[in-house]
Amino acid sequence: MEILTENKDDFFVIKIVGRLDASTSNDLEEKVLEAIEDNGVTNMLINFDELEYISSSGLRVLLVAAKKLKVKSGIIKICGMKSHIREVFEIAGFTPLFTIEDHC
Amino acid sequence: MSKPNSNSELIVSSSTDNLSVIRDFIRNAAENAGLSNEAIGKITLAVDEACTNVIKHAYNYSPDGEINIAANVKKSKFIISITDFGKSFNPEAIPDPNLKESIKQKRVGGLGMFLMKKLMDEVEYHTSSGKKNQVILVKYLA
Repeated sequence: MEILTENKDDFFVIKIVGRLDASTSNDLEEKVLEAIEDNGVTNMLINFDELEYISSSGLRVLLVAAKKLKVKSGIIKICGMKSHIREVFEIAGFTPLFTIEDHC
Repeated sequence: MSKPNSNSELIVSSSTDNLSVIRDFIRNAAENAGLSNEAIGKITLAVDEACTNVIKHAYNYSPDGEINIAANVKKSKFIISITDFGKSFNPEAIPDPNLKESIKQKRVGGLGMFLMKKLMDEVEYHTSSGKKNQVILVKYLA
């Protein structure tokens, strides 16, 4: 998995490339916590264009991010979700917790 | 290539680095059993969740344990058994996650097990205390 970050239009963008499972979710968690806790990010856009796979380990990191941004009255959006990943979100009951946009 | 009725088995150490090997193994076995792409995706995720739980809870992230994964087809069922020789835990003691509460709290527990139940047709746990734990995941072929 690869993580690419950039600042764009008031949002801190995190692009996840590859597969997000228990072996890679710690890397994402580090990036997310560094942005929110050290760099004061309040608006986050997670780009799923090139995310191929997610397990509960990845979902858990997104939930941590949502929780931390909620406290700061921030925004968390996810864009470019592939249909099989959207299905995992639906099954897990995660869809209502995020603003989900089809295109990034 | 194995035939639909054959058994296949994978033995790996309890490292999260092996999750991709485990997913490839299950994907192959499910393809050979003739399952749809959608079903294969669900089974692969369920097995990942089961093995992640084994690594976390049975072996407490030690990579020195053994995970044995066997897949076979029996009576129109695709059956996967995942066996470990680590600490046993009582799955009934872990409630389904409450996302509304989780967003307030620090951890969300039980999400992997919740997904396994949603993704598969049957999920069973067997423990012979101090010896081995086994998770059986079943998907109907029909």
